[in-house]
Amino acid sequence: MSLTNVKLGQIVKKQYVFKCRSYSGMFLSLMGLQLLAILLSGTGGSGSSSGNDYLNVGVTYVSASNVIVFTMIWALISAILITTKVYKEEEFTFITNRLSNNLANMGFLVTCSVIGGVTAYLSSFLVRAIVQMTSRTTFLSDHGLATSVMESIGAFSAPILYVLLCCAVGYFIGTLVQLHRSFIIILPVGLLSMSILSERFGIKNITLEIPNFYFQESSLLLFFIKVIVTVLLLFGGAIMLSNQQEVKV
Amino acid sequence: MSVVGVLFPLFFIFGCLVFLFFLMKKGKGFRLRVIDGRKTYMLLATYIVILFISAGVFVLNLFPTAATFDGGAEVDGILHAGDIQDELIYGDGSIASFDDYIGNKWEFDLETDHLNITEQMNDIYMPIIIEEKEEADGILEVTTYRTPTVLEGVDITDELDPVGISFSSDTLEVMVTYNNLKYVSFEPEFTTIQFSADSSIMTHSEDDKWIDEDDEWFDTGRIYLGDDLLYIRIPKGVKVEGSETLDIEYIK
Repeated sequence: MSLTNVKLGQIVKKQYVFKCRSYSGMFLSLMGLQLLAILLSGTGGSGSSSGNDYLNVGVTYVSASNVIVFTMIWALISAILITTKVYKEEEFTFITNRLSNNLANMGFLVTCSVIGGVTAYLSSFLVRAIVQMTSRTTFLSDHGLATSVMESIGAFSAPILYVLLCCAVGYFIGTLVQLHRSFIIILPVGLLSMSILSERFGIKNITLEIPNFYFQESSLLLFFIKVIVTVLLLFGGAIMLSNQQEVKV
Repeated sequence: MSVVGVLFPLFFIFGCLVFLFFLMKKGKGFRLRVIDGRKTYMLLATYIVILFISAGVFVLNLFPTAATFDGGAEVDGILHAGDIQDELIYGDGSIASFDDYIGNKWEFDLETDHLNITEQMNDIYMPIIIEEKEEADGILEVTTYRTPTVLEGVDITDELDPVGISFSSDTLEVMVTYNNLKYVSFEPEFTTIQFSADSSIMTHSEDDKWIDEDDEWFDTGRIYLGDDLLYIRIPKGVKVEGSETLDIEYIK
């Protein structure tokens, strides 16, 4: 029995700082992935061309959407990774319980989301600067950046929210898999089965409808609410699931 | 554009990748701590600073490019040269109603009673309208009409080489230059489009994305090609012969 009465907040704070130091390698992979995506976007995106007897016109479309998508994938994988046994063993030096560990993980994932989202947003400028410096062709549009205040707020905050959502999904999946290994099979098979069944019975495909629930939301406020509520539910679910796990001695 | 401008970003990215590889190789394991936390955060901070600098470079336009077009060209429906031809032959429209599309005008002295029209490349379809004048004034009047070529809401019709005409004794030769144009268009990221006023592109199905009833495809992008029509006024009594590929029609 310990004579020191440590508050939960203090434990979480210490663990959070430890995780920020210990898991810093994740930011290396973030930079590596983003640079790869920038390279792919900067050297030419999608294109279309059309022609007739005496005219051929080709347009190359440049966008940093790749960078945001790569960042979302990074967030999903990173969040799954930090629930694995290898990462958990790093925390044995701390006096901890599942709640404080989960809260510290969530704090770290929120930090990851902010850093990932902000760098993804800023990388759109780097992509454009690279293309502007290297391209010898004429530009059809000024910049393709946000033109209104609402678009600007959305362009800045949406990548952060998307990355946070991916983190929460990844963390929940990771926790589920830690609860029982069979979920590694059950989850993909379940999603595939739902797609096949919905196709067969002519009902809405839930595996497509769930992403549409977020991607097709044009109101920034509603999108914010949807994401935050989902993240809270997933994180809450992960905390409850991790309480079902066996105690490690 | 300078050589430095071309090579800088390539060197920058290559340098970053080499640096990253070097750091990873130096680490004891490729799991969590490839390098220690402080160095990683310094690297991250440097990366963010570079991103901010690139934002400044781009916003301040420190590397001005070739011509940049402003968008917002409004096109009232789709118009082809063939549509003008049909309107004049089968409809009740007059050529004067298409004055906005005039490219060039020429006048030549025609001293014979026949006119031979040829086309330089011999494989180009071009609608031609011949109007016979009421008087035999010996003057051949040639006018080219060009319908708009629009990309992503940008009218680039003026960027195309105009149709050329040469005339000698009784032969009118149409000279068309093959235009091969390439452009770059900066597209907003999906996170920007999602909250823009016209977020319909996110909700349209694949089938109706590009062609709506109101030609909305101009708003959502893509390419619309214009073409050329030749309008020739000949003196009374002149007979016209032309290449097979030329679509010659007569009006009174």
